[in-house]
Amino acid sequence: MEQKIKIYSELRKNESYIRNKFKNCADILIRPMRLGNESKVDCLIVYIEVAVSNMMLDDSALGKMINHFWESSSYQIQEFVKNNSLGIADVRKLESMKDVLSAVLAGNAVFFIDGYDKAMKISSKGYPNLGVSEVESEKVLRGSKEGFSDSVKTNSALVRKRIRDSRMKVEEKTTGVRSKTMLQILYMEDLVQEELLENIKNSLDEYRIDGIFDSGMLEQLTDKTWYSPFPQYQTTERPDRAAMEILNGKIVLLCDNSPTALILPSSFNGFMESSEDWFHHFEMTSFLRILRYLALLVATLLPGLYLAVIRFHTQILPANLILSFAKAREGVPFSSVTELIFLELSFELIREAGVRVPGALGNAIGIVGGLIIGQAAVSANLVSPIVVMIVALTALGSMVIPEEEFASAFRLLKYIFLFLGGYLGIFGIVLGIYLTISHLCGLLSFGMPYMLPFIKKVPRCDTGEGILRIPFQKRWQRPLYARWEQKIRLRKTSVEEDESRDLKEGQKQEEKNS
Amino acid sequence: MKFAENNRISHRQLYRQMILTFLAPFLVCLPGKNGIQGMNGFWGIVLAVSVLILYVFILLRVTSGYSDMVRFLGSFWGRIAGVFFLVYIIFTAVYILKILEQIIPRWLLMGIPSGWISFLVIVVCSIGTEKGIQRRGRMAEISGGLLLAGVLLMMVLCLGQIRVDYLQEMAEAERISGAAVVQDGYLFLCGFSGVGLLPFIMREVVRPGSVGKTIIGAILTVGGILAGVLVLLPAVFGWNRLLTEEYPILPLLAGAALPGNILARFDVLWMGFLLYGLLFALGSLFYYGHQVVEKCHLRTVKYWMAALVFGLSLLEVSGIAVRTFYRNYLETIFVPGLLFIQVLLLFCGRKRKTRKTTIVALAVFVLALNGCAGIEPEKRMYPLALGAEWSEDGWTLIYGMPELPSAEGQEKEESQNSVLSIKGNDFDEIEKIYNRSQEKYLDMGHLQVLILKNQLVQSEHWKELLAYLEKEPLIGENVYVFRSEYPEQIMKWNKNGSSTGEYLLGILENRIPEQEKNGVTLRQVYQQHYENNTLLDIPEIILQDEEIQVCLE
Repeated sequence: MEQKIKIYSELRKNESYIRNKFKNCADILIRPMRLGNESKVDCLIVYIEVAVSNMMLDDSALGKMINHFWESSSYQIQEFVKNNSLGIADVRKLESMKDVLSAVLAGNAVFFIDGYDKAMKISSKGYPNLGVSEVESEKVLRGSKEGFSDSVKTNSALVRKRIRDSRMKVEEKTTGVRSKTMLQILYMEDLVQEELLENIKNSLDEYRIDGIFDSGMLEQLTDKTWYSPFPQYQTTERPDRAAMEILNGKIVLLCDNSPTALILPSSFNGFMESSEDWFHHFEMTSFLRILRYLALLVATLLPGLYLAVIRFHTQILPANLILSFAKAREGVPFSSVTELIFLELSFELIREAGVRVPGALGNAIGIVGGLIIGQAAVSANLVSPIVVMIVALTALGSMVIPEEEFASAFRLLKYIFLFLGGYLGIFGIVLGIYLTISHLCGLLSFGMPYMLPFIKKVPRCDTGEGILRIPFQKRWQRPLYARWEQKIRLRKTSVEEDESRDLKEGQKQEEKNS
Repeated sequence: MKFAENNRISHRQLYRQMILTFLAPFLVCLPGKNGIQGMNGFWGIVLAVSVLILYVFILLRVTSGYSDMVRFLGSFWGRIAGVFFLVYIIFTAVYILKILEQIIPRWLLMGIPSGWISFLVIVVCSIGTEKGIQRRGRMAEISGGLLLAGVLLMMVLCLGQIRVDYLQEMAEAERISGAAVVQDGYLFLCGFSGVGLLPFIMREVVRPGSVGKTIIGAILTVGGILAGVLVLLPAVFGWNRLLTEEYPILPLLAGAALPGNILARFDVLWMGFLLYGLLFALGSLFYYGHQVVEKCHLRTVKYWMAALVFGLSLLEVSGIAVRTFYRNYLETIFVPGLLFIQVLLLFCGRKRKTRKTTIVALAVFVLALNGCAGIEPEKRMYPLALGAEWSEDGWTLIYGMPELPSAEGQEKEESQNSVLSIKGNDFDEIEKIYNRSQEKYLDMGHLQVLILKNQLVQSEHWKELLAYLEKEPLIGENVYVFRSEYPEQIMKWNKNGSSTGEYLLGILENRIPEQEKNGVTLRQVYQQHYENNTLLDIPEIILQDEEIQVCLE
């Protein structure tokens, strides 16, 4: 931890301290300068080369300031700095060297004047980043195309753009002893459950770590059930999804340098929802949700069930079908379990290769892997055609699940079911289902059961949760995550009522403040 | 946070827990030979449910005593009561385990050693049972409704197999007596003795004051379904056969078909539902075991209960195992004992004080896969037709296999059906000869027709054949039975590449309703056999001008 060393009024001492701290840091520029009408005022500016705008540009805040100081006396300069008379938007006085170092490392310029025991932080464009770009992993047909960027400030601004309400709070925290990564906790003050907020803050303070470079690291660090393959945070790259969840009473956690926001608490059903679910008509969305659940079952159970049926319970299938399977497998030298694992792993390889290589080449790999290798493997009698179909269906099923990380958990589970079905038949599948349900029912995401809303203590059916999507006009309650007293989210109201309610709220706030 | 802060379960979760815990063991264990049957059983259930409803009110009054038995009954008697509960739980768990050991190798996974079944089941069921009631509540809420819906759906699908004349036969054969009703009612009550464990968790249910209605609801649901099954079983199997079946619920769907022929048979799915219920029941027993240990201040080590149940399940001295005497003990010791403790708790009121005991136990799931390997589909032989002949020299079984290309419709050229004839003194010898001489595993799961030689039909030896077929769980009961003078020639007969089995099936099924003629199924043959010890009149197949003709009239 940096000691709280106060800023000296002698510029030379400040300069030597900073030079000592930033020794061998070629990217940090420490520029002494003499300003004032007779060039008698010693000043110092410290900044990271790429992070801060060019000083010499007249239209930058720093350029304007320096031009102004050029013709001022020492006293005038100090007065200007004290009063921020130039009206630069983001200027803050710093009182300790620790603050100075943090400000410089955060991508700001820091300005010192001889004889003044405070420094001035002048915000600039900050570190380079990609900026707002189109979302890659959660593509939708309808809805915004904006995605989160690497900058936490940009990300919170994107959410703020969607919720322009003073009750949406953005709390900042720094984590990582060395990386000093900035985190932001976004929530609606009146909707969020206080215990949940407290819980997440405590979780963030629970560990000391060198550095956090992505929200994924944060997620794993704060997972309570670390051994579970199921994600306990929901993730999104879409600001509109994050905003929607905030209005549901959830908390959004943004991490600097990560375009992925974490949403908590999460639930099984939440992972199966797509952000555009609320943009389409309820009939189609309900159908799609049922389809996703079926896809989930296919992605997890199909290989295991196939093996269980063809190896143990052939009587289930019509005679023609089992004879067809038998014929198709003739000549394949491996057992059906080996065959299926071989093809599943091949598919995982194709998938991994497709992700790693650049876009156009990735598509080519998909075609080469899926069609050519699959066809060749069948022709070479390495696998039977039906297994290719099983693997393809399983892969399709896992791709239908909107949340990649959630789908990955089921991809892993698929292998367990594959072994259980292959070696213990339906008995193994039932054992696996029992274990999975038991595990999922024991999972909590920040104190909330993972299996919500399938388990409910209080019957609340107008929250819009569940497999079937209710019509938008009927979704008048907030989900269980929100505070009970704020359960109503939709009501028919007139403009007058709105105004009177705002007035009442204003009065209440005033009373509270007084 | 409403969910996280209170460690309580809702009434619905309790209801579904009860359904999950009781339904499958009741369906498997109670009906059948030496169990509850027919109208005596039906009225017995009605009587028992009435008694249980009264019992629930007593149970609610003793809830406070269960929270800390040592405080309530004193250090010695409290622990004795705890030990009694534990013995009951352990014996019940062993009993369920033994049932699983019996069912799984016969119906689901042939060849697996029973020790492995017990081991796997114990490991899976004991995981997480030391944790709070919420976990079990959530499990029940997620899967209880599905199991209930699944069981009801299967029962609905089973309705197509019902025959009214079988019900009439039951009405004629069964004598309703007060003693039998009371006896069946008491057996049902004994089955529900597990309700006596509910007060251990009653304080962890929201609004415990009104929980009685939920418990009664669950009892009525389970009782209602079981009563329905008691009517369904004789209507499907026939009364006489029911008297000989140990677990009649298992083959209940062996003759049912799904609309649209999506699956040839779905009795495996039915077993899956029942198996899940049995696993949950076992898990519940472990959970209550932990509760008893905690509330009766019995110090224990980790996993001892699971290990003990596993050990006891392996124990068998001179053919006597826990399963042999469990029912007797349940009726004469456990149920009266449980009632005695509850009466004691009702009258011995002391100040209640709970003490939190931390029980941390993590079970490691190690899946040992050796010993159970499936057989690939191409390494099996699928006889679609089976011919049986008997002579003074012994038995001949003729397996009619389809040619693969014609069966799957990939090649259309004419091909001869392959027929395999094996002679032997009895069926065991035939099986031995088959296993010695054939490379492929004999999969009888797709048998469509059975053709008996006329000579066999006229002799009394068909009974031996039926006994052999009944022991083979893979053979569906919807197999059509025919007789013929020349079974082997008929099975060798081939037209347009279709197998004899498919051809005969086509003659029966590919007709508009007016032309449709009912064949005789194996289930009907069994029923007649159990009823009159005679063979049903079976349609004959004749070979005329190289054409097969079925005489159904």
